[in-house]
Amino acid sequence: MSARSATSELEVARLIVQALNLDLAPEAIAPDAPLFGEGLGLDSIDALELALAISREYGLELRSDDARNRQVFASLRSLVAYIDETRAR
Amino acid sequence: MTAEPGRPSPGHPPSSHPMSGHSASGHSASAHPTSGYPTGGRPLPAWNHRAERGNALLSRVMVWLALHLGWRAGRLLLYPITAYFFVAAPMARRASARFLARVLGRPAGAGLVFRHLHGFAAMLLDRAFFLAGRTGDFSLSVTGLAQLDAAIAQGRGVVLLGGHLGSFEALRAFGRTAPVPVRMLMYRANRGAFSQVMERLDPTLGAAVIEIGAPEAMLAVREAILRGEIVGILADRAPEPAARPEGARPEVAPPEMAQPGVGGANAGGAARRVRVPFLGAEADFPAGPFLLAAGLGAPVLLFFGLCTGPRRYELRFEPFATRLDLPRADRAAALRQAVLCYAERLAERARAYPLQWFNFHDLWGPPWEAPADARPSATAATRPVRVAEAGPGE
Repeated sequence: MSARSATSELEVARLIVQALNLDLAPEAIAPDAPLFGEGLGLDSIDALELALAISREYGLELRSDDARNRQVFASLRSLVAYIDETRAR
Repeated sequence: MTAEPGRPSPGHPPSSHPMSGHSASGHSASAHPTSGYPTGGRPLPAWNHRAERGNALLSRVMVWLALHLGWRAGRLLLYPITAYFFVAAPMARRASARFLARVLGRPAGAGLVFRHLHGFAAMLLDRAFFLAGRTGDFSLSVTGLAQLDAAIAQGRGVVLLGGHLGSFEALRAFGRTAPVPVRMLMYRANRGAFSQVMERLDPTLGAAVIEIGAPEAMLAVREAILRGEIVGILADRAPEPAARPEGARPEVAPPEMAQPGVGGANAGGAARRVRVPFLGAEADFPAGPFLLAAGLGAPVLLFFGLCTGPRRYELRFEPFATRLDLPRADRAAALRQAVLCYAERLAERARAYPLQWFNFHDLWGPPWEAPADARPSATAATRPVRVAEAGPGE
């Protein structure tokens, strides 16, 4: 993780586990594994819950018309990158 | 997600609307053993790709009839067309017989099955007119408009839960004149000629449909609700696992002419089902629409677009919940209660209009069990929804 990264992967992993009520240690979420479909196996209802949790926690709104959504939701790492990038602005 | 700790009503008592007059069959829908006797309990093939293709072909035929021959000629041609499908689509025939036996409590004869398939073809023909905006000769009566207006007036958006009964297209026809935009959350046929024909018929179709499949679909629903709009969802068809091979990417949506519905919207979402009694036997319903409605916090109404005569439709809105609350602590039970309430109201309508039941999907099949590795990292036990499932270990 780079030094300027304000958001840790573990922190977001905790948020995911808590928001979606997963029976899973946050540490067990592989940073590069897909969150949806294969991998963690989340679905679009989870995506909504996760988006709301991120909005509450970080004050940033995920929009349905954001072309990067697929990439943002691709993995824990890409989600963290998105949060960092958006907060940095 | 619904933060309020209070317990808003999980639903209103079953509708007391005096609608028995249209009952297409006076038979009691007595409880029926799960085996469903037209097929002797043998597992039926799902309403799968092949059937969907036949379905799409039928739709294309109807669109052509509607555009070139008009309604009367189209209606006449429905008989030979239905006869063709009666012979050529044994799966549809069996699905019809299976449902009718269940709802009527006795085996359904070939004549009734024929009428059922004819009704399906007739609905598709009318649907083409709805989509083309050629509704001048149609009459659409609305029941429960005051309740819908009251829900809209709250400014929290409105979730409408429907089913594969009658024509949901009546809702879109209504939507053209509604005070706020009406959108359908559905699997859009994202490939193939039929969807192109439909889009040509109604260029606004794209905007009126929120397509299930991508993670952001539900964000789009939320944004619509936040704008105070109406979102319609068909809540009686769980995503078909067979149509979604394991590891299917989200965009691998059900095939051509897929009917709307929502579960989870991708491979993982197939697991979210709730099994409740429906027309006398346990049936699988998707949990997704209810979880979504709860997450959105909007008032929930039921809607049914029923054909009450030639070119006559009745659109019914019935209050369901001022706000669907699924508290984390007791989510499985609350969810089951909500689905049960929906299933009862849907069954009531289905009994009144059995020949307008167009969900040819085997809801009563054996409980679908998630592949052991469906959610490799997330153990099921604490997933509140999974608790509601029948799997013994889960």
